[in-house]
Amino acid sequence: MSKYLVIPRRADSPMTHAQGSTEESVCEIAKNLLHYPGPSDYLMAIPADTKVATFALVKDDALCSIEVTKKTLDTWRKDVTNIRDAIDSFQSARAHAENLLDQALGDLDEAYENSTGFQGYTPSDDISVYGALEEMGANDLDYTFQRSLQEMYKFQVLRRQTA
Amino acid sequence: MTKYLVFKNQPDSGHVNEPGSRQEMASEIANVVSQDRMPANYYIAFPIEHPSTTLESLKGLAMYAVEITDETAEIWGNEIQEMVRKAHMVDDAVSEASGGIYQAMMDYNNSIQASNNFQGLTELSIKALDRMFEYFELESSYEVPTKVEEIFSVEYFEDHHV
Repeated sequence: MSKYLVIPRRADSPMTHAQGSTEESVCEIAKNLLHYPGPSDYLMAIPADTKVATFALVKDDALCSIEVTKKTLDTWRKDVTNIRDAIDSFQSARAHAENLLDQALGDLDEAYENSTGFQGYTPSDDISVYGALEEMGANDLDYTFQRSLQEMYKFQVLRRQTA
Repeated sequence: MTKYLVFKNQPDSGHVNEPGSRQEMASEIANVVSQDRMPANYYIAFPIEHPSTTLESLKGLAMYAVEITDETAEIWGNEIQEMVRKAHMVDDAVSEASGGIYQAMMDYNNSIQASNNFQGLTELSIKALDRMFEYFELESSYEVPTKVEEIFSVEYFEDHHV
C-alpha cells in the first residue's frame, strides 16, 4: 500500500509524471474524486512519507491523499473507465429519453388543453421518466460509484479548492 | 346519426374506404379503438343499411359498430385526428426512449459484472424499466381510445359475429 499526497502543479514547474507511472494514475484518480476542473497533469502526486509531502502539508498545498496498491491501480486502469463510460452513456440515454418524452408529451398536453371534448386530463401528469428512474436508483449511480472509489483509494480531502 | 359496421378488410376483397368519406372515418375510429395502429384500409366500414353490410355480416366478420353524427364527425376532424397523431408520437417517443435506456442499462450492468472490484454495486433493474415503459404506453394510449369509444358509441363484437 502506498500513500500519496496530491498537490497542484505550479505552472512554471518542468516536472511531469512519466506516462504509465503510479503517480500519473494517482493524479487521474485525484482529478476524478476531487472533480478537479483542469487536466490531471495540472496535479502532482508525492509519496506521503517524503519531506516534500510534509512541506506541502505545512504549506497547506495538499489537496487530498490517496492510497493505492497494485491491485487497485489495475482496477483503475481496467474497470473504472468502463464503468464510468457506462454511467455517462446511461445519463445521456436518460437525458435523451426525458427530452423526447417531454417534447411529445408537451404537444399532447397542448392538444388536450385546446380541445373541447378532452379537457381535464394532462398526460404528462402520469408519464414522466424523472420520478420513475429516480425510484430505480438511477440518480444514485454517480454517487454510489464515487463513494466506492473513495473507499477503495482511502481518499481524503485535505484542502478545499478555491473557485 | 348513421351506424356503421366495421369489418376486417380481406386482402383480396378489392374494397377500399373512399378517402374523406364517413366510411373511412368509421374505419379509422375502429383503428384508434383497437389501439393496433393498423394501415389504412385494414378495416372497411359500411353503413348498416348498405347491402355489403348484410353480406359481410353473414360471413361473421363484423368487429365494431360505430355511430357517427354530423357533430361527432366535426369533432373527429377538428380535434381527435390531431390528438391521435400526437398520442402516437408519444408512443413512438416511449419506444425510442425505452430502447436507448434499456441498452445503456445493460451496458452498465455488464460493466459491473465484468469488473473485479465493483460487483457489489447495485445493478439497475431491467424488469423495473420494462414495467415503467409498459405503464407509460398504457397511459399514453388509454385516454384517447376510451374517449373515442364513448363519443362514437363504439360496440365491440368479440367473436366477430352480429
